Amino acid sequence: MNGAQLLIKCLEAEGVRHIWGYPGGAIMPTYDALLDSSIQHYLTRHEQGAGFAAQGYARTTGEVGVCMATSGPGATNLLTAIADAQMDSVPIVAITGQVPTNLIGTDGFQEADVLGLSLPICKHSFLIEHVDDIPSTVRQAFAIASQGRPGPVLIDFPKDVSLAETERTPLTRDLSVDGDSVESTALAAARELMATSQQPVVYAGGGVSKSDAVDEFRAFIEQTRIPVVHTLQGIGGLPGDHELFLGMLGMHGNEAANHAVQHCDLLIAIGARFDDRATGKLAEFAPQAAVIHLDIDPAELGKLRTPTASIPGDIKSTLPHLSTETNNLDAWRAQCASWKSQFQWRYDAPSDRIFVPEFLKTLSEAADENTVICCDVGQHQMWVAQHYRFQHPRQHLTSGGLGTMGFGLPAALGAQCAYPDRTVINVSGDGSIMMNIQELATVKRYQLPVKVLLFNNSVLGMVRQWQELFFDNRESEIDLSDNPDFAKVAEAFGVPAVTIASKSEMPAAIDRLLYDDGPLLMHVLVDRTTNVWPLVPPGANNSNMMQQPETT
Amino acid sequence: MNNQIFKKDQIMNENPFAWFSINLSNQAGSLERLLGRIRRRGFQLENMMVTNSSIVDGYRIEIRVHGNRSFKTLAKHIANMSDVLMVSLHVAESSYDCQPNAVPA
Repeated sequence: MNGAQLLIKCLEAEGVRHIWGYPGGAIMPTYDALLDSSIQHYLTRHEQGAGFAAQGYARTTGEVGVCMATSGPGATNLLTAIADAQMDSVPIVAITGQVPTNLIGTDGFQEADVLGLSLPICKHSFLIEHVDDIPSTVRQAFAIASQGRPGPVLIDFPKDVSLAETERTPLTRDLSVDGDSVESTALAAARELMATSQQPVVYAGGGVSKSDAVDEFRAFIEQTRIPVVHTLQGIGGLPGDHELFLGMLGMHGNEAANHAVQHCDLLIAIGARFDDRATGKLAEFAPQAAVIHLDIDPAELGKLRTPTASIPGDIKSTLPHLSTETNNLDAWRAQCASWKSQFQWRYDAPSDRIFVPEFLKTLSEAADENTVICCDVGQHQMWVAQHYRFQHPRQHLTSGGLGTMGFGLPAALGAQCAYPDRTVINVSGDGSIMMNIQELATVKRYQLPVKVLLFNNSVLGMVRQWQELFFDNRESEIDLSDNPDFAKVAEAFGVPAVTIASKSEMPAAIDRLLYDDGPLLMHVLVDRTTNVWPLVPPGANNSNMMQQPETT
Repeated sequence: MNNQIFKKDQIMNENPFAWFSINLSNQAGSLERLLGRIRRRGFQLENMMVTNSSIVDGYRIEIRVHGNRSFKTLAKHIANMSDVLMVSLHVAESSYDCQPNAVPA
C-alpha cells in the first residue's frame, strides 16, 4: 500500500469514524485512499469550518476530532480552529497535505511552512518525512492530543510521502492510562486549609469535564457542601439549578458568584487557569483567600496566582483524595444563598420585542438535558452562559479562550454528527454567523437537523456596548444594518427559515427549534441597544460590577 | 506523570537572568518550538549553545534567558513540550530540575 492508504488505516486503528475536511492538490492521494475506508468524510465549505466541526465533535464526545486540508491556503485556513483548540484544550488532530519534500523550501505552488506556522498554536506538530514513520507519528499524535492537558496536534504530510510504497502496518492503540499519584504533603496542606476555612469557594473550570471528572466533582461538592462558581468553560459541572451553584464568575458573571469569591477565605481552583476574563484585576482577585489549585498542567500552578497548596495531576484521580471534613459552613452558605437571592437575573424588559435573556431562559426550561448549545462569540454568548441552565459541561460548546466568531455553526455540525438524535442548536449573532455561514451548505448536503438560533440586532453588539460604555459612545465600524435577509439566505441554501420579532411569537419559535425534524434557521430580530449586564469594567476588580440602569 | 523536584520552594526572578540546561530530541521544528516558547512566555534569549549529542540522542542546549516573570513557570512550559527530554533551571546558587511532563514525541 502507499503512504496515504497507510495513514487512513492508522486513523481507522485509532477508532476514527468521522473526518471533516476539504480536498486539494497535495492531499489528493489521501482523499483517494478515503474512498476505500469506513471513515465518513464530511465536506465542509471552508477549511476553518472543518477545524471547528472537528472541535464540535471533540468537545461533545471527549474523543479526538480529526480535520484535513490541503497544503498552503487549505492549511492556513485551518489555523484559526487549531489556535482555538489550543486555547480551550480541545483534542483534535489536523492533517495537512504538503508539497513534495523536494519542493519544500522552494516556494512551490501552494507551499506554506505550516509546521512553522503551527508551532506556537499546537500542542505538537509533526512533519512526516518518511513513509515508514506514518504509524508511529499517527499513534503519537493521538496520544499527545488526548493525554495530559488535551490539545491540537498537526500532521503535515508531503505528497511524495503519501505516494511512497510501504509494508508497514498501523500500531496497536494503547488504551491504558496511569492514574496520577498525589503528593501527600500537598494533600495534607490542602486538607488543613479546608478544615480550618470558614468561607471556602470552589472555582471550577473546563478541566473538570476535560478530565471526565464530572461525577467525581459532584461527589466532592455533595460531600463538602462548599459553594461553587464556574468559569465559562466549566459551566455545567454542577447542574445550573443546583443550590450550591452561584453562577459564572468574572466580567459578565453573576454578582453572587463574584461576591462570594471576593469574600472567601479559601479558593479551591479545580481545572481553572485564572484567566483575565474570570479574575478581573488579578492583584485584587479573591484578596483574602488562600488558594488550593488542582490542575493537570503543572505550568498552570503558580502561573498567575501563587497557590498555598498545589496539586498537579488528573482531577479524576486527585480530587477524590481531597474530600475531607469541613467546618460548619452554615453561616457562609446562608450568606452565599442570600447573595444568590439578591442578585437574581431580571427578565422584565418593558417591551413587546424579544428580550434575548428571556428567550434563552425559556428555551432552557423547555429543552431536554441532552440538548447541545453551540455558541458563537459576542453578547449572545454571554447571555447563553448567564441564562441557559446547563446540566452537563458537554452540552455547552463555546469558544472561550480565543473567542472566535464563526465557531458556532461548524461546531454544531460536528456535535450533530456525534449525536444524530440530539437537538443541537447554534446560538449566533448577525456578526458571527457571517463568519462561517457557508456551512449552511454542509447542513443541507448531509441533512443534519442542526438548528440556528440567530439573534439579529444589526450591529456588532458587544463592540457597540464597549464603545458606548468606554469610548464615549463613539461608534466605529459596528453598523450591520445592511445585513442580508438571513431567512432568504438560509432558504437559498435549502435550509428552512423563519423570521420573528415579537414576544408573542416566542413560544411557537421554541417549539420549532426543539421539535422540527430537519434543519432550521430561526431569525430573531432584537433591539440594537440592549447591553449585557452586569459588567466588570476592564482593569477593575470583580467587586466593582456595573449594574443595569433602571431605565433600560 | 508529575516528577518535578523542587530544590527551592519558590524561585522567583530576583535575579532577572537564569540558565537552563535542556535535552531536546532532534525533530522537525524542535529548536524553533523551544525558542518560540521562550519568547511567547515573555523572556529574551541572552546566550545559547547547542550541541548535537549522541549521548542524549538529540540536542544538548545551554541557554541564558532574561525576563521578569517566573523562571520556574517557564521551566514547566518547556517541560510540557513533547520533544523535551530534560530541563534543568539554574538561578544564582539554586537549581530546579523539571522532568518532561508531556507525552513523548
